[in-house]
Amino acid sequence: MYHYNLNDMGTKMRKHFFKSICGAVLLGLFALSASTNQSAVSDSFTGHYYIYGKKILSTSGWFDSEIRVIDTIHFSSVVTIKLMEDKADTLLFFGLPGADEGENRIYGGFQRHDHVASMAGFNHSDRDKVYGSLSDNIFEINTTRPSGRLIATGNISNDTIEIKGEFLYRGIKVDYELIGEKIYSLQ
Amino acid sequence: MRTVTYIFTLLLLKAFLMSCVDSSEVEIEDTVSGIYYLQGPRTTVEEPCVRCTADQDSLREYITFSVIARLDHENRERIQLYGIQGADTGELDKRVYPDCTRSEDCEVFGYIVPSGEFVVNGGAFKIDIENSGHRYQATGSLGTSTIDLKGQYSYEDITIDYDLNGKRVYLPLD
Repeated sequence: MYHYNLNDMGTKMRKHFFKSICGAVLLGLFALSASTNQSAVSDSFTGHYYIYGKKILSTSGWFDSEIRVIDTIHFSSVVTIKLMEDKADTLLFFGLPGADEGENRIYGGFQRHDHVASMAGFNHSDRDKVYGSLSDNIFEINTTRPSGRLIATGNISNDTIEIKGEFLYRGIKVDYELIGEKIYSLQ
Repeated sequence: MRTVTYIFTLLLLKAFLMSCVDSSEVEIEDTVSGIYYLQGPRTTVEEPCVRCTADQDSLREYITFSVIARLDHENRERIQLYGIQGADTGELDKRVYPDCTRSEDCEVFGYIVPSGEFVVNGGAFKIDIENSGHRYQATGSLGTSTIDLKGQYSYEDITIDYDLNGKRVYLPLD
């Protein structure tokens, strides 16, 4: 048979009261903190995105301007986007197809890559980072590197993203059409 | 005198707040979650090998991509991974979830080995997922700033081997 221990009950009540006081103080501090941070700018762009779509690889001939489609690849990837804190009109892209995500393949006997940062992106130097300009919800990327040129436009709003891009390098052209949605925010 | 009183009050408040926190509920620092940049060869064996040249029986390509790792706070024996080529991302007909368009429809977890070990400073992990005959198996390891991943995707006559390594990216993101 179980006997109630009054000392135990008293201790439990004191602990409960103490926890209640702690909770009230923490709640007050949280409210105070929230009220002092109201001036912080809301960033709905920064986060990880799951994107999917296609890339169309084509070449132009050495002696003519005819475009020949080599391959159409449907694929998916993840990209991280960061709104720069010091430049509210600039987005930083990380893991973007055509930028620093992609592959090296052999076409026509030549090793070809389909992204501007190529393997250099592995070093993450400022030189390798790919930025885009942002106006309202529209962004543009226009970057030229020794390893190619990437021109892209896109729309980013309500946790969704659309990108159309074109990678160019020595007769190789890769058109990107991608859409996706945010996996989670980084706030 | 006012400054001393102020500091003393702050110290009292700090001591009070610390006493409110049950030591068993303290959040352990998560040094695993973050962005990793992977690179390495991808070797595809398929019949027929559409993209192989005449003298090749397999297609070897060099790939780069990013992966997001996230510690699962509800099950600390595993980490959630986003962007694993051959599993939740990659070419449409060469990944475990071909129809996936939203990450929650193609979740990938790496389970720490040996099982039961707590994930905080990284460690070895394995992935083994299957969906309608599409299978991806991998072993990997996470350090505080590095990642290694050896994986294999298989489906019918296609086998793709990945031998990847990478680094954690310390952009001011999370």
